[in-house]
Amino acid sequence: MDLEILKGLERIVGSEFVSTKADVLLTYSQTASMAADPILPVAVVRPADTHEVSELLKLANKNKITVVPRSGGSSLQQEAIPKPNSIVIDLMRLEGIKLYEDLQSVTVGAGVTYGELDKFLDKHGLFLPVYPESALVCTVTGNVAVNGAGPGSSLYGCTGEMVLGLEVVLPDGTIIQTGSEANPNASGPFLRYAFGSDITGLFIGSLGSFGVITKASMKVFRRPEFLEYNLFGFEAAEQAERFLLEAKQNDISGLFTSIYSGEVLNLFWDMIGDEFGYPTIEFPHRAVSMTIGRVREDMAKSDAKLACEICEKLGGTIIHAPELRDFEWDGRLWNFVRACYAHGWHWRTLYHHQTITNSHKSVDMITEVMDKYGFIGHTAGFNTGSSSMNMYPHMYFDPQDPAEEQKVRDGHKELAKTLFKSGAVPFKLAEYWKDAIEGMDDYLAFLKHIKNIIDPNNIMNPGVLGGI
Amino acid sequence: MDKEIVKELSRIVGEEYISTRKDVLLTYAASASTSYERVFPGAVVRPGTTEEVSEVLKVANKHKIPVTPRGGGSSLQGEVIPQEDGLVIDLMRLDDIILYKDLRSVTVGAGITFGVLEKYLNKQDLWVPYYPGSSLVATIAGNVSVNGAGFGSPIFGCVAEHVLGLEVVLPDGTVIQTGTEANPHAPGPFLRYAFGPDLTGLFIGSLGSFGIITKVSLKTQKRMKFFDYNTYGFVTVEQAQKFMQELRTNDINSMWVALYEGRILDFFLDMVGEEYGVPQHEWPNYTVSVAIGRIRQDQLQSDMLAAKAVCEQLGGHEIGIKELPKGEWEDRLREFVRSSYVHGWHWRILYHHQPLANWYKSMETIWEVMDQHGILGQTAGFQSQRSYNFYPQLYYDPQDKEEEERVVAAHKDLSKKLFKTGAVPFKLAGYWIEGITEMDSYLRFLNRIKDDIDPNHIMNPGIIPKPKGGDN
Repeated sequence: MDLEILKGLERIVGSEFVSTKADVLLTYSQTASMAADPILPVAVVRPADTHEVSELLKLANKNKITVVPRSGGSSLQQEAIPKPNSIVIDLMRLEGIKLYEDLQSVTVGAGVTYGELDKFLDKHGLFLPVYPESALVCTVTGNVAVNGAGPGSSLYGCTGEMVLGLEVVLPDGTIIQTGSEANPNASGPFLRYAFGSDITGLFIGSLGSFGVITKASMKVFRRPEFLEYNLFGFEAAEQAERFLLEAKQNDISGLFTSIYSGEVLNLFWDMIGDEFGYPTIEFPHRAVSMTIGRVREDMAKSDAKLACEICEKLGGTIIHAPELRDFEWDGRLWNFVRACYAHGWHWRTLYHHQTITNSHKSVDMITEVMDKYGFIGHTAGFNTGSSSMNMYPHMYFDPQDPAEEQKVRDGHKELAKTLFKSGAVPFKLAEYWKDAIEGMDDYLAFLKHIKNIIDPNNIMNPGVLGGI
Repeated sequence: MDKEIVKELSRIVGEEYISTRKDVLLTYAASASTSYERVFPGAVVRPGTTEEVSEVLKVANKHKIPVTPRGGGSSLQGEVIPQEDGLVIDLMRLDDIILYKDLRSVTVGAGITFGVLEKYLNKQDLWVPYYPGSSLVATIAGNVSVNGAGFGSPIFGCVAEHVLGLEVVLPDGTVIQTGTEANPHAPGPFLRYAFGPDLTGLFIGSLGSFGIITKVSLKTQKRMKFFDYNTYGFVTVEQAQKFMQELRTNDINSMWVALYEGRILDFFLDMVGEEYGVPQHEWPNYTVSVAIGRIRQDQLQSDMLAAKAVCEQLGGHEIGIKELPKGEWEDRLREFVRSSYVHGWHWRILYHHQPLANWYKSMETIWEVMDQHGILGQTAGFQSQRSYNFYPQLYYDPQDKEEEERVVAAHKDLSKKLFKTGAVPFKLAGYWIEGITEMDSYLRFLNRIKDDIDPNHIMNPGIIPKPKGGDN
């Protein structure tokens, strides 16, 4: 890297927070996206505050240096893998949690993880009700940038729906604040849709390509003290989907509702059953796992009773598996990650959303691709928002076996195409969707247009947004 | 308007759907915004499809004609007052409704009003639980453009929170679809946040400045059948504010929550009390009028008890008069309009949001400004999740020029003072930004996007305020 530029970076953040050491760069060359090839950046900087981020971007913009923002590094679809000759801006030093109890909201710096925030909010009887599955390491702003979902989303929607405002540093170094806090006199974040057009949304799911999110203001809610857990078994996928739809339509407060195929549950059991001391269970063709949460006990009980009635009306059975509650809700901050890595394989994922009544199609298509290419994997999904299923297929490979890895790459590519044709949608425009998407030229041209307006020098994570 | 251009436009929409007649233009020269001067457009077109809207915009863009899109014309802050000799695009002929039962969603054309949609969904035992005050005439697409709030908002927030996707015609005629329907294979709308950055938001609250919304996809829900109406009295404003917050945090499904100061309640009941059958009552300092709605009866029972408990815990009391919230809720498709016009004055409005705990700040500021400027008015509002949506109305006699001027001055003064209290507008009407420099970088960003999406500035020009400190 150019020495003058390096000096410039050091002047901004201090020399102890810039590194070009090979071992440090190696750490930043990869993320939890294990199926991606590592790329070494030329330098890593760790700014302390928004002002320093702004100065860094001014410098990068002037010198047209590619910038990749990074926080917890837990993203799975290569969002924080550096570009050749890029600098990485590590945001973990932007700490700080500010609670606005009267407004039922909280503002966090870009370095605050869900784990940290949950611990903080728990003391106040509050929660931010969307937990990405890597919550212990995942930062809130990072998750806003990828617009994730997870436990809690079945009731509250994706992370995007929790946002009340963002502080963003644009590629030219300008700092803007969105939402009610755009008014410097505002007592805090209380409304996202202030001041006309919603610019907040532009940065949600932007994968760091429009600027660096330095603070996020989020909705918080009273923590539900009363939980009811049940596993509902069905012989047909359509019954399970119908059950989920009816439960939602009847205002059953499912915080986290997943549909699992029997095979997937057996696989989970194989992986973690021993560790948790789970008894052997005969799983049906499909099972709906539902954690109901309410702040009042009678409401939780009423929901649970009605859910059982709907299940039975649709010909389902109630499976006794209280162990799953620990897994699904109580262990929401870490169990998913454990299940993903406990088996030791590497994997590619292909996050997408499918309608509730089409979610079995995703399962079928994924199974077909696995059979065709001859690798193993699985898929399941959980309900997000009013009518979507967030599917997270995993395709496994042995990292020592390049032939197997290639099969997974090919299968993954084909799957993106077939899923798109089935009407599925990505929630983040990961690069591989680029080849799968057709018939969206005007949309993508508009997105590219916006990218050009905001980042004319194309310094911010270029290509990450479906090739844009 | 140039005759050749009129011909070009009439080739697109058909001769019967274009007009340059004086009496027709007069109709389109004004809207429900009573305090705005009429401006005559050069022509009005009424396209029948999205394709026609697209073709019309291409022509307007080519000739750089200012365009004002218009739905029901019920907006109150001058949003659809045309530009001199500009083109009004009346969208009321875009009147399709498509229901996606399994997706729990519905798509409506830009000409569908809340009234029409309500009637349609009611037959299916469904609803979109959100009603702006002028629901009978307000279109959904128009309301998305101004990002309104109303009945249902205490629980569900502003209209933006119901949106799953939009079909938008950009100023150059390009048609884009946001949300899941951006995928041409998608079975319909089921998620707003698809395909990365949320482009939908850009058009919500955009006041028609980035393009024309031709279709809106919205979430639907099963209709609530069980309602409880009640009034809760408090001595101090802090108690009443806290009560609104506690309704939320305790998961009490209050679909309508309005906090009335004693003197305003008297004024309001003078107008509609008799009609709603509200009995005479010595109202307390602060009254909170609440309509709770639920899908299941046992939930309603539980909510009623919880609301009472919260009220009493805060030192308030259940007043027990149900007619006020019942009248408001059942009249939700027309209540606002009725109470706004029944007195016969003209008025300026200053919509804004204030955090629940700062409700008193708006109240104090509004009284102070009315006293200072010697004008008459009132303010009411309702809860919208974490905030309170105020709509102060400043009255004047349209025959009295001097009074109107005082109201205009007071309005200006009020917007500045409210901004200082930390209130925010939900639509960026120009008067909000006057004299404010603290938001320059925000406005510069917005203007940059505007300049690029609409380089010829044909879409509702001037509606986005310029930064006070200049462009750079």
